Amino acid sequence: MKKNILFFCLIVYSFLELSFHKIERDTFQSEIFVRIVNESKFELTNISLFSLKFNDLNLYKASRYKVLNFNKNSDDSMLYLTANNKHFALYVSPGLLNGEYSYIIDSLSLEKRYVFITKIKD
Amino acid sequence: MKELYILILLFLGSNLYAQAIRKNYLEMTETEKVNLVNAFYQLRTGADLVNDLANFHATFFNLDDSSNPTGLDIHFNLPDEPERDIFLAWHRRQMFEMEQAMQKIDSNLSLPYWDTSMDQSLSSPLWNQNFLGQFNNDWGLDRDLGDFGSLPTPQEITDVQAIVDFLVYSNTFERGTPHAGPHRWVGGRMRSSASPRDPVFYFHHTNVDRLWAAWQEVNQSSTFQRTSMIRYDGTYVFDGKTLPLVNPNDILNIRFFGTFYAVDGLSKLDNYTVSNTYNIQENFYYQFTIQAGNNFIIPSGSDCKFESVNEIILLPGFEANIGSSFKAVIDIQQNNKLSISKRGDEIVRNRIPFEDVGELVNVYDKFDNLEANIYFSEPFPNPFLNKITIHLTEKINKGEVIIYDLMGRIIKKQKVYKIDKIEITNLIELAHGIYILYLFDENNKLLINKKVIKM
Repeated sequence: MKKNILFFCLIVYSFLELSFHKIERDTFQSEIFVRIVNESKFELTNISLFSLKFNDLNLYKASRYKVLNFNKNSDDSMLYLTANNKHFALYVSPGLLNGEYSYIIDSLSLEKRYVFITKIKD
Repeated sequence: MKELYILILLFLGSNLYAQAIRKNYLEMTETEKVNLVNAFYQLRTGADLVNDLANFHATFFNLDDSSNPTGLDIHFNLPDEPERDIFLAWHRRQMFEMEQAMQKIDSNLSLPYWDTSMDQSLSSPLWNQNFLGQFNNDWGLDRDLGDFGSLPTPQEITDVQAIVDFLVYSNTFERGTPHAGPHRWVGGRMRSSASPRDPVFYFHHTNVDRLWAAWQEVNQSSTFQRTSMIRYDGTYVFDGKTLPLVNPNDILNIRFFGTFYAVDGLSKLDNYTVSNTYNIQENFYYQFTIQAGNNFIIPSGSDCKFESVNEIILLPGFEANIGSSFKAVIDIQQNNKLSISKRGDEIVRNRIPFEDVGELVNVYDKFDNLEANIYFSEPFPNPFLNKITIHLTEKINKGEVIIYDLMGRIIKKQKVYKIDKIEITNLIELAHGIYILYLFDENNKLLINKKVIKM
């Protein structure tokens, strides 16, 4: 009888242990960090990436990383910013793998209304 | 008894009136394709409707994160903001504005659609240099086909079309791959809020509109709280003319514009009364089968023409009333290649990039002052078709690849970071010929300077 109880406890413990690790992995998978690096010649304001707000960025400055918990039904898969009183918007994709991503604003074309970016996994 | 007048003509004369059937671009005749491309080029001259629509779209794309967050905008309003939502109706009206402008140039044109869930190849006829491919260089669109995200799958289209609630449908469609996917996939201007600068924007949004029209046929539940739309609020002036006020709830049925979508070789014309609201004569032109019936009415005093290259079928429910003008025409000129080539020569296709190409660089001067080539392998393959790869013997922290043509114009720019292998892709659209490839390091020091040949 004691053996059965012990065996039962062992199974329950194993199940909980596996579940705990699964939860840990799921949580870990959702940990994507993003930041903005301004390498353009403009001061950037009204910055938003995947509906995450960022502080204004002076020339050649980088933001802090922010955790990305992207909701495809309510968050914009977009980069928005304002430079020289013009609004810019660019369709972007969130990273699929956990990690830290830098969205580097290489340059802006005021006439084309286009943001040239490079996305790198740090 | 109502009298039916049917006149079968075997010769197509000049047509002065507007076209009402939108079709997959794959179903366009060669003449239609040539004339459509010509019309895009012509629209860039004078008041430049292409640029005006793009600038407006960019300015009012989404103001949530701007200094005017409560201002009316076009994109990404949520289902709990029904007082702001306008996405589907605004683009429907935008397509109609563009289509009307094209029909002033060529009355037989309509905006075609790109079925993005079925037509996904990089070598699709859509990107042919004789079709939309030519705009990439001519208008400086910087497309990167396939580099950013994917096009929608048929299942994704099925899933979104199955949503019943209108606001959820509109939101899911807009944010998801059915709408956003092609913007990312095409890249360049299409990725930006100025996406209407790329003609493929109109092909994509005509497809978006087609899918909404199909959804509305089934669900009949589209509704908007707004009673006018920015640009179409009765105040906006383009080319000296004030655009009319449009209530989005008046255009829930695409037939409001006298427009029908043809699918898979069949254009079904039904449940419509010809009114000549927008056109003196409503002309339904289609290469394949036109089938009219089921309450398609041409009332007294109205004017309508069906024209097909192959077949016109009139079914019960089709009525042409006494006093109406109706013609059914078989277009036999379509196989006349001489005629097609003449039409292609009608308009000069000027290169009109949206921005100056930049300071011209004397390529040969730089070529003569080569830095030591110590960091790289030979670019390969050379000649190339779509991609060039360069292996570096040392990893560079940061650099930039620039490809020039022999006129010194920048053809492509690409930043590189912390890599020892450079891949420059999406070169298939470059014209055949010789190009110069440069790689600069972060200090703007020239590392590579090679002549490469596009096959």
